[in-house]
This record gives sequence, structure tokens and C-alpha cells, in this order.
Amino acid sequence: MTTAAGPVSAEITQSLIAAALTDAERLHAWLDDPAALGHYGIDPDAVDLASLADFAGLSEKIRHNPCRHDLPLTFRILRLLGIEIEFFRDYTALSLARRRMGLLSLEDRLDGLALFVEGWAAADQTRSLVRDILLHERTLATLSAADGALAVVHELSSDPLELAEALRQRDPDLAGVGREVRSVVYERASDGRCRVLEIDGSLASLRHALDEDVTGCG
Amino acid sequence: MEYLDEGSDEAPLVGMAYGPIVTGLLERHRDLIDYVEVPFEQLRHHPPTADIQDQVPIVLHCSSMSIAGFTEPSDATLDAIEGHVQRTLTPWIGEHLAYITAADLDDPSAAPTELTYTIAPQLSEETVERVATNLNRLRRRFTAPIILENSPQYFAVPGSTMTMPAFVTEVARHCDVDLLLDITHFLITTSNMNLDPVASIQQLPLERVVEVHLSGMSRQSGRWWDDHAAFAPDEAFDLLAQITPRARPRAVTLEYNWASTMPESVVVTHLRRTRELLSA
Repeated sequence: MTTAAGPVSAEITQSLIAAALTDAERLHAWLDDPAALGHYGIDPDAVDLASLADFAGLSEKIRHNPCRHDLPLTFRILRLLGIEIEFFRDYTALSLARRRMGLLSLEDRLDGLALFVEGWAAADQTRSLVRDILLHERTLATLSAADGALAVVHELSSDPLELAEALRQRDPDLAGVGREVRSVVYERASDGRCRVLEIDGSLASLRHALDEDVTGCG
Repeated sequence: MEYLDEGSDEAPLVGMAYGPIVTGLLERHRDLIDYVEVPFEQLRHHPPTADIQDQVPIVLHCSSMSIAGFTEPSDATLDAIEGHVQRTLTPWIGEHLAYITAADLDDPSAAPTELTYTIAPQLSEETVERVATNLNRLRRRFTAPIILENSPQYFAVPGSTMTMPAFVTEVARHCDVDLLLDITHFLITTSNMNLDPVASIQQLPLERVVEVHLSGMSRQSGRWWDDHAAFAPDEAFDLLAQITPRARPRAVTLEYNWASTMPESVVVTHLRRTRELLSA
């Protein structure tokens, strides 16, 4: 590709791609107004900005490989749904902002994903399953590492234990997972035992215990 | 400490990229793993990783040289790489034909932009010349040879004047450098850029391939992506079989290093399949 000024410099190209990958606001501005690339002597038609955004998603996905230990079923559902790249692409802006704040540890990465998934899923039925299993796995890991009694409540769109069991199957039947908004309490007793309870949202009363002894907790 | 012992007349070595599943595999299937390929960056930021050399030889991989880039790595980084070359006695350093740092777009005098993942460069004569310049400088720093790994291409890079196979071929010729052929990267590139993989791979200087990488790939958002949490597809093994009459790599590495667990029976099957394919 050439411009009126001559061939596009390899060095400028590298700087432009690096800027797009490390500055989500700038990438989004270019997506909104590709002509702005002309400022750098780059033909807007020569840059596949959407693919660059997806590539940023791949980079984020790889950065979060250490989270797979705590979130194996979350990564599995993202793969099954074919939305790993989409998920991490959408997370890029928040992730970059968190890194600039110095939030770099594994715990920070797990917290970041849990923070992001709430807004990302919103009312979308498919994305809500991702949110359900991510919050489920993240909360179990948090309780497992906790010292003393702790309780966490999530409003989920499915029974997280049913969803988890489905995802452990060789060919998960996600369509068969029951969908109903419910409040779920994750409770760690002082003796280290953990329970996952479903409660009636309005009365905050125990509807039934989903599990009496969650594996991997306590 | 274990060091790589290459028998010149023996079948190529088969190894695993360092990752969460390697320790268990070594405990149960040490006989199937000749070496573990470890990233320099892993050794630098988590030195206890080097302890694995008590069990198995190490081949050094690297992402820090920015060999196709215009921003040079620091002396401290290069010294640290050489330190690990000497400690591991790696037979070569596998480095990406890519860049991982770039000058600031608006202020070239500012601190360079650091990326977390290597990126395929513009495929052009200018980049070939840059790689040659960088290699001339870097080779003097190390007591092991550098071999260059083809990057996966996910999109057309502005200003490119050649395909990835042509670019890799030109780099090898112009820079007189041997190659690390990542077959999965190659398949991703040919799939995303609408090239015929079988015809394209024969365009490469296969005689210069010292090491081969195999890993998984997945199709999402309309294109193929590198995926070390997935198993190498049959197409990757088929391509390896097709090139072995010309290519005689000294090592083949399975890169299954992203997931915390993978079905061990499949990993073992792939290690055996690779050995059988290379000994045929």
C-alpha cells in the first residue's frame, strides 16, 4: 500500500497497531472515525480495525490464562459458545484501565472479570449463563480461600450447580439448563464448610439447599 | 541438571511447551518427553521454573527480542537471555518473527509501547531489512543460534507487499537464518488470508526448519485464532507428514500450555503420534 507521501512505513504501522492495542479509547475513536488514521499517513481502508479489536481480545484472553485454574467451566462455556474472543475483546477497555491502576495480580484479574461480566451479560439470555458460571466459580474460590465465616449473595438466571454439572459433560446440553432468576447465597461457616443455597428473593427465606457440601471449599 | 543430547542420526526429539500440565506428564510419561520448551520470560519472572531442568532438558523460547521491530530490547534483557542460554545449554533460541514493543505513535522520543503478545509485522522488504539489521546485532550477544518462528496472521498489515510464506522465505534467505516452523500458525495464516496451505508450505525453505510447533486453533468472530488450550487438528499432523520428506527438524514441540488441565490420554496419544510420524 502507498499513500501520496509514498509507501506506508513499517515502523509507523507498528506504532499504530501498538497504540490501538494498548489504548482502547483511541481504537474506538478510530472505529468511529477511520478517516482520523489519515493523520498518520495511513489509508483508513487499509486497516482492519475490527480485526485489531478482536486481536486485542486474543491478547486479553492469553493474559487471563492463569485464571483458568479457578474458572475452568467459565472458559469452557465461552469456548462452547464460540465467544472467547468476543468476551475478552469487550473486556479489553476495562482490563487496560485496571492495569493502569496497578491491578495486576491473579486476584485482580479474577475480580476484574467478575466486575465486567455483570454489565456485559445484562439481560442477554446466553451471556447470562456465562455470568452465572463465572460468578459461581469465582465465589467458590473466594470462599475456599477465606478465613472465617463469609456469605455472598448473587442473583443468577439459572441454578449454578445444574449449569456446572451440565458443563462437566462431554457434550453439554445448555439448552436443557433451567432458566429462572433466583437469589443464591454462598455461605462459608466458621468451620470451613460451604453451602450454596437458593432463597426466595422477596422473603429472603430458604427455599432449598442446592448443595450441602460444595467440593473444593473449606 | 538435564541437558539436551542430540544424536545426529536419530529421529527428531519430541517435547512439550512448559505449562500447567507438564509436571504431571513428566511424572507419568517421562519416556515420551525429550525436553521442555520454556519461555525466557517465564524463567525471568518466575526463576523456580528453572528447577524443571532437574528432570528434563530445556529448550529456550523467547518473545522479548522484538526481532522485526524498530525498538531495541534493553541490554539487561539481552544479558538475562544469555544468562539462561548458558544455564540451560539450550541448543538454540526460538524467537518470534514479530515485534512486542513499538515507538509511541505521537512522540517517538517517549517510552516505547510495550505489548503483552507478539504481533506479525508488516510483510515488506523494509521489514526484511530490519530483521537483518536486528539479527546482525543480536547474534553477537548470544552463545546459541537464534531461529525464527513464523507468526500467525489474523489480518492484513498495512503496507505489506508479500504473503507470509514469501516473507518468511525472504527473511531466511536474506538473513541466512534457520526457522522454527509453527505449523498451526501457518494454518491460521493460510486460512485467514485465503492461501492454499499445502502449496504455500512447499514454498518455504523447509530444509532450514530446525524446530516445529504444533498446537490447537479455533474459529471465532469470523477468523481462526491460535489456541494452546485446544489440541492440534488432524490438518496440522497431515502438514507435518507432508513436509518431512524435505524438512528434517531436530525437534517437534507440542504447545498445550494454556489450560490448567487437558485430557492426558489425548496428550499422550499426540506425543506418540508425533513420534511415529517422525520415525516413519
